[in-house]
Amino acid sequence: MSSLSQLSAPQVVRLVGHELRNRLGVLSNSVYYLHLRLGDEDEKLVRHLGLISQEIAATNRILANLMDWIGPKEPTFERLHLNVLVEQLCTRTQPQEGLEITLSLADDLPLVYADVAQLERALGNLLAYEYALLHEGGGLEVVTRHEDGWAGLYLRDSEPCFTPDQAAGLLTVLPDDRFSPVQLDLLVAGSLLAANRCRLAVADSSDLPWRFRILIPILQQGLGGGGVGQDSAL
Amino acid sequence: MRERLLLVDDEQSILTFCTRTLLPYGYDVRSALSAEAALALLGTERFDLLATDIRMPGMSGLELMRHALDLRADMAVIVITGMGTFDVSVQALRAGAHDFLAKPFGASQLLQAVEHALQQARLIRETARLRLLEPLLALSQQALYNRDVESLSRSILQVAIAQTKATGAVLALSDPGMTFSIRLSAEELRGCEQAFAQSSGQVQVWTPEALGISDAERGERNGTPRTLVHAPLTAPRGVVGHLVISLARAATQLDQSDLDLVSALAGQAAALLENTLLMQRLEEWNRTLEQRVQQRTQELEAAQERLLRAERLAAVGQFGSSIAHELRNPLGVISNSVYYLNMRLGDADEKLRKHLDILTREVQASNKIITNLMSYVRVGQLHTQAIAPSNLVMEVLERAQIPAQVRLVTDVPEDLPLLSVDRDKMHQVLLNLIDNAVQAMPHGGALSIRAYIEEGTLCLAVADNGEGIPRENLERIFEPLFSTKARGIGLGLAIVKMLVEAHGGTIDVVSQPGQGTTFTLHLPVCVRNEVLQEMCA
Amino acid sequence: MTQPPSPRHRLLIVDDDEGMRDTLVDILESLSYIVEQAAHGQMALERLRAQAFDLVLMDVRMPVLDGIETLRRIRQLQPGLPVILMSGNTGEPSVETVRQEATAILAKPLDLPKLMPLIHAMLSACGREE
Repeated sequence: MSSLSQLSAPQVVRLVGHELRNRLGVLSNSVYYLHLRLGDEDEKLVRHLGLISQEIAATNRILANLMDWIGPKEPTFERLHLNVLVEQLCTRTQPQEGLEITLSLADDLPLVYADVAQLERALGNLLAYEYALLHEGGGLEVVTRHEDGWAGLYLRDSEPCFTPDQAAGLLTVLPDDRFSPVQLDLLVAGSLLAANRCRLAVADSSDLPWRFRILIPILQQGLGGGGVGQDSAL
Repeated sequence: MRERLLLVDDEQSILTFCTRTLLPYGYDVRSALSAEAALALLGTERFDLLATDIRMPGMSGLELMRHALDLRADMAVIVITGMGTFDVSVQALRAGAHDFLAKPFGASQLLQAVEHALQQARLIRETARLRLLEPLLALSQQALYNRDVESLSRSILQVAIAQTKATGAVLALSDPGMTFSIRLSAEELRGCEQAFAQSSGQVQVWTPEALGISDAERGERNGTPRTLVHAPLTAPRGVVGHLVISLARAATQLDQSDLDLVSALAGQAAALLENTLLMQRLEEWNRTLEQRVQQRTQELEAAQERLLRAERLAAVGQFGSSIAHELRNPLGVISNSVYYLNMRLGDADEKLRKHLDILTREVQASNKIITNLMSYVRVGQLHTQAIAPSNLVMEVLERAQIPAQVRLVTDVPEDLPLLSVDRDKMHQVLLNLIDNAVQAMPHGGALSIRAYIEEGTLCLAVADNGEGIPRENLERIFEPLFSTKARGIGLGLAIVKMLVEAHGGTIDVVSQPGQGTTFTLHLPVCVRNEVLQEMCA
Repeated sequence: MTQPPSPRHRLLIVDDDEGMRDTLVDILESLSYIVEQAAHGQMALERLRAQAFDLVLMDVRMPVLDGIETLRRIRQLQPGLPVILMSGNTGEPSVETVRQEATAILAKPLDLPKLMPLIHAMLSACGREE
């Protein structure tokens, strides 16, 4: 690594972040090895090995968010079925007990155009936010709808809606803010969605029947499949 | 109200007989010996029933009947016929009479006929009113498509005029403040508007005189009586407007059904208008809602855009210590577990011990990376240059705002070794400390800036003799969330500390409440340029 | 935890990070694989020329000769050799271009419970099971 000081700050953060990831990777390997050698006989040993694994995963997640937030990589646009993605995401991410999820997915939803991994990440983060919001139980509804030129994805839940101040503060960072990993999730979701030319709206009053609204660009007729597409309508 | 009957016959005996028969049954009876006399009575009084002989000298009963029905379409009419006028009675019935009495007739026949005719007339009035609902219903339907209060109001006026046979009308709405009128003079309009303010919540009959409209103003309508019927438009939220019908009749010629009609129209109009207004408001509101969402979306996109740029890093920097904290939590747990494993497996075989060492080593390395990363992120990249302490302090003092009541003392020798620091960031550090000092002396005092060498490091001390900082706060003063009055130029003392430490230096504070505070920077004289190479070592 | 049947397969670990190599070697050896290591692509090619290997586990970012280039050269010499790339997702487009050439690409941080069965599957699939 020569002349590190010539790199831009995001690049530095990314490089150093990767280095941290490597250290965590080695940690993870050692834990795996110890588990192989020690087996499952001793409960306490197994428990501590498990703890280490858990916390490594947690750190990785925060790091991933941080780096994604500082500068997500250029999206690779592909066509995808939004409904399928939503279904997979909801079945994969297990919500807590007492939380009921309803899916209302439009049949006529056209293919959308986005980077699969990033969109999945962004939606996953928004879901995680909802789960955290509903940590004491309640109802969450995920709705997809064909809007004019967009695929609309709405998240509605049984909790009270944001006040205008809360909504405004959600995606802004003020000096000396305390934040939680879940809030960073939101910031990352925002930046990933923006990179994918989606639009994220946060409801700031109970007039709006949703908490989050995401508009995802629809694949235009006549555009070639795969690759980076035109964004004339975006 | 007692029903009023008008009997017309050229034979007095018949009139007497009928009068005597009907009076005991609670009717009000007047009589006339000729059609002309009857007409005169009809012109000045209101009657519910007209019983007239067909054949009379002068105007016939038929003609009288026609006149009477012109004056009041729902008047009950009985024609009295004699021999030789049966065919005329058929005519009469066709022309609007309800019944006929053939002479000679007895008392019970008369009574029956009168009752029957009055009932019929009542029914017709009801039907008429019900039939009024048809146009009102049609109006309502129109209102569903017609989201516009203005055109709805005009339609209402037209229906009202048609149904009441009025010559003009006015519809005044209070919210929004609009007035619509058809064929009313300006004076009448003015008179009405003035009267609205004092009107009660009931249907009222107004005469032009009562409204202050002079004879001269009514010039063109000379001779024609005129009455204005006013009904308020009442909605659940109160009086929302007024409807006034202008009738070419004298007030005495009006009866309850006229008033009821106007009242019904006003009621319907109120409902329709309220509904339309509501719809209009809802649509507008939906529009603004959409606008607000769009605006919010745009703001979010703009915010995201801003964040995508370099400012993001500054934002991260600003809560960098929080991130570091979040990252360190898991590492702390890992560290503890590693400790436990070491305890349990300390005397295991070589390979196992090797991996335990790996664990320890990697946790330490991770911690170090996090510390350095966060420092870096917090302060951004350092662009260092060599600068003499005296020059640095001089530049800072030029920028600092020190009020007149604060006395400045500096002691920064020019021959001190050079510093290798990021000029801008050092400015920020010192400006922040100076600002804190000034704020600690609201009534004036002494601000001193001293620089000296101590054990190879350069010390820069910023001191004030102001209020001082209590001991319990001193410990926390460099914490990011710790709030004091002195925020300086937006950098908390936490960032000051970060900046100093990024240069490889330290900062400490000494304070005595009531006596003053001294912040001292300890800066290495030569600072590593390639901060980054250290980070991952 | 699946154990491969004997005789034992020979694996090559290529990563510039010593800690990574160390730990992966120990893990795979305890699973009865024979494991060799190389710190960069150049060393890896030398090893491959000297001995027969059944599978290569290689990091993408390495000094001297990185994983992408090394993979290309391996394909020229031994097209059928199973190669698993470990990518840190640093956004290099070159990773995409070798998607077809690599037998598999795993993201870092490694999901070891996934890696082990994958290795086993690859070794059986390529008929290297005896």
